[in-house]
Amino acid sequence: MLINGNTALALGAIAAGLRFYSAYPMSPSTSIMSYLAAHSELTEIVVEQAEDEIAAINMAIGASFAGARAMTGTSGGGFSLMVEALGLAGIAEIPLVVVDSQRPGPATGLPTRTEQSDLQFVISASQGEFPRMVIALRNHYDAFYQTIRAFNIAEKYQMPVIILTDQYLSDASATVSPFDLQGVEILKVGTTPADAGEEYLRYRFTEDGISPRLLPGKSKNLVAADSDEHNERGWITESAEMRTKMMDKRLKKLQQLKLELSEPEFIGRENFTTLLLGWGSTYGPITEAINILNTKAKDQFAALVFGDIYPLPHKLLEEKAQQATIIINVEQNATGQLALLIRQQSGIVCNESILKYDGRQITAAEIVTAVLEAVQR
Amino acid sequence: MSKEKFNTYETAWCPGCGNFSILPCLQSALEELSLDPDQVLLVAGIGQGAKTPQYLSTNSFCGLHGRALPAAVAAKIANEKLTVIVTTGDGDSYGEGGNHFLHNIRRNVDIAHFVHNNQVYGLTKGQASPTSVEGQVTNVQTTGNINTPLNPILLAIAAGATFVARAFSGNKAHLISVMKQAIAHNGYALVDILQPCVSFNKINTYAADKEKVYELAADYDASNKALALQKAQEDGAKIPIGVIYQEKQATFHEKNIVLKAGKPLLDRQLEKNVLAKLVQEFI
Repeated sequence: MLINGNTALALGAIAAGLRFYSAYPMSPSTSIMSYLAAHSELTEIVVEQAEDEIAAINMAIGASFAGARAMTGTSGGGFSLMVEALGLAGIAEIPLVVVDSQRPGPATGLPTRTEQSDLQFVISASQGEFPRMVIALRNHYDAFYQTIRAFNIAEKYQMPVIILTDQYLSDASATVSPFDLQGVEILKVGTTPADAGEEYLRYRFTEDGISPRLLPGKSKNLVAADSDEHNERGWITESAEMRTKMMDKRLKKLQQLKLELSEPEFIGRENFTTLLLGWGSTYGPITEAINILNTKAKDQFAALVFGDIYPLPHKLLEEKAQQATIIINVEQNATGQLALLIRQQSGIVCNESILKYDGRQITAAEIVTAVLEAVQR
Repeated sequence: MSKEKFNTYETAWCPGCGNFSILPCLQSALEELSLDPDQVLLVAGIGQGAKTPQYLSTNSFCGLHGRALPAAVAAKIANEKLTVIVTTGDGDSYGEGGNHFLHNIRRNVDIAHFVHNNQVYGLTKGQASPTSVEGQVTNVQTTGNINTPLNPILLAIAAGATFVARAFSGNKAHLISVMKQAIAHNGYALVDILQPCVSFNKINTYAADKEKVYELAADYDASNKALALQKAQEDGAKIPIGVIYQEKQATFHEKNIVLKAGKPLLDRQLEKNVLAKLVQEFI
């Protein structure tokens, strides 16, 4: 099939049981909304164009709370407006998928061009501390299958999952094998009332931090959501003890999540000496560059390209980094945001950086030239 | 009357607050409409009035300041069987949430919106709200508020709201009646409830408001938009209370291509062959 990244993503959302999509038009994310809207009747998904991105995300949260699987999508500027509500989904423990199709910033930047400069922003966006996951899409398969997974993770852990894509992947069409749902599990919305316990407590303390999530109006139990710190029932509290316990409960969900992270994809020769590190849509150019380098150059090359990027899976990274004599991060931003994250999370330092931030997707040829220069330094 | 279905809880409001009248009126309205607590969803942002969902035994969603309306309309879109009521303040509704107020009037989703309008910011201790009168001195507007107060009734009617009412926390029987009509109205229903703030608003006191408000005559025609726009401008020495404007219009649910089929959205499932059919379009 021939499909672009945003349409593949929209199909993934449809497959995952999306019922409600709210967004404000913003390039390069808009085609997600227009595809979903065009198929709204067939797929039974309500698509609502919000008055602004603040409304878009708060609508998605309200719909999700009430039991409709929900998503919102935007680019960095709109994501900036959504930031406070991201924390609401975090503290109120409401499943939510947010798409950020990146374009060069800051402010209006280059509206119709590409960049990977929102990584450090989305992993830390919103005040306070709460669990979240960030998945970077590497290609059109990711756009479909990882979007489905994003909904499952949001549902299972009752937290926001951010999908990072960019203008290049959003708009670029590729030929891929037809998507299907063989072997793909899709979680149902909410907890069955019978499994919620005798006395229903929305934020019940459990071993893994995940509480039974009933839907309002679907049982005799009353369901509360609160942006204030709250007790197990969901009522506002100022208790120092309850505050600490609730913070621990929410953050505990990350322990289990970390066990199911996908390691980055390893590309190239096992006996490499030079290791490239990348993430998201540079997967294609990096793969091509590794193949060229291993054919043309004397040295051996390999790369790790991250899809799951926050929390950062670092098992394979640590293993491969030990073997490398030189580590080069390849990114479409000016400050090396992946390298910063890797250093923060694993202590691993990249020796060289290949950074491009002119709004155009990096090519394999550019990477090859830059790698050969770096290796000679 | 028995009030065993909807329980109220201990509140954190100042003694004498108008909210002490609004809360039992909401409780009575829900009881008298024979609703069950699990069928009702109260939604609020942040503020003194916005604490209301915490104090009544219903489903509740206390979201972000100013953002009650988007969450509420979407919850109603997700599950149309819920009776969704936004119960929050003037700062939340007309200030921080002003854009949502304007655009949810246009959506006409079937929810009720009760604005506890004390014409001042209570939670943050006394700054001007969008409805504060000109000249009101506060700890920020130290030489008096110089901005024109927003007239939410006039604005709502002009923007196309299908139910616009005003009430006063000091007239409980009337408030209950207006609340019931708003909840029963098929579409977006605004009730602006004048209430005193004993701590921070020394102008719009209980006594002053009681002097100003008068009930609309029994023969008042709420379907007459021109008359309603006239009535809406009585916002000074005399203030009419009651249903100022009401019209029948198709709701969001009646017009939306998915929702008009009538089945609650959350009960829908993707038909088995749909994905394959969509994928086929790209082959």
